[in-house]
Amino acid sequence: MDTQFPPLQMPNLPFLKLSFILNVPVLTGALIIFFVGYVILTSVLMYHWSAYGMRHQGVLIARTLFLLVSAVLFIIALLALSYF
Amino acid sequence: MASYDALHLDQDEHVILEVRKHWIVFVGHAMSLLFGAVVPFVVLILIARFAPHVFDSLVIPGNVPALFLFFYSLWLLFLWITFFLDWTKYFLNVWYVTEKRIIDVDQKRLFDREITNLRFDKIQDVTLDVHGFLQTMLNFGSVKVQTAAEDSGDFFMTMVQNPDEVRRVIFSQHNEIGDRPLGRRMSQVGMENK
Repeated sequence: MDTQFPPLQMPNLPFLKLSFILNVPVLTGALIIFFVGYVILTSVLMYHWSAYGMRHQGVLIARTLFLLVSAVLFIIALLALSYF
Repeated sequence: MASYDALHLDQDEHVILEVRKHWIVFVGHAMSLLFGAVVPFVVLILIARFAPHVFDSLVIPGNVPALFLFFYSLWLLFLWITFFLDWTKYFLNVWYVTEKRIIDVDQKRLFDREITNLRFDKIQDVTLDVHGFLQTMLNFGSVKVQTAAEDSGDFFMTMVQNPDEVRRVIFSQHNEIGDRPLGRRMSQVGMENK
């Protein structure tokens, strides 16, 4: 007698609606909090580079690169949020 | 052009060499950050492959790709900041070699900085150690400056780039200080003690 076992299936997970946390006001608030943290850390870095960097060329390049890429990533985050 | 005002050098003193660690110290950290940048995609692929039910059970409102891009750009920003925090510690950890002394700036942590001065007439020996294939090919190694001072320990830095040049400069300055007439050295000490 052939017995066929049903294929192994994962149990169905309950539905989880994320609209209560994934909405524009909450994400904007998260972005603002992240930006505040970014400003604090950037201020710390800028202070160290200015006070101890000796106006070295490496520091000037690092500062430019850091701010440029940060700006691009923030713009991408803002655009993504606007399209959400 | 670099400006060394923060070192408070004498009027006739100039920085002739800056000694830092080799860029290879960054390779491990850079690799881990690169891996961190890829991790979100790896996690998504693994979930899609082995647990697709997770996506079916989540009800995500709005534009899902835009949401992913939003979180991913914040994640990259976090990694970017982490990289520069580590780079700052690396860059500010340096020896400044002048005509008169070595200034050891030890940036242990972001808010933990130790500065030690070592005059050339206190140097007993400079030892460099280039060990292994990678160090030989990429020209980095450890440099140890042994001192005769009772109140300060030896200067030691690992993974120094171009260690032979460092040893040569320190030795040449040490010999130059030693070759100066005693009267001129004494007058210099007298000026500094005023």
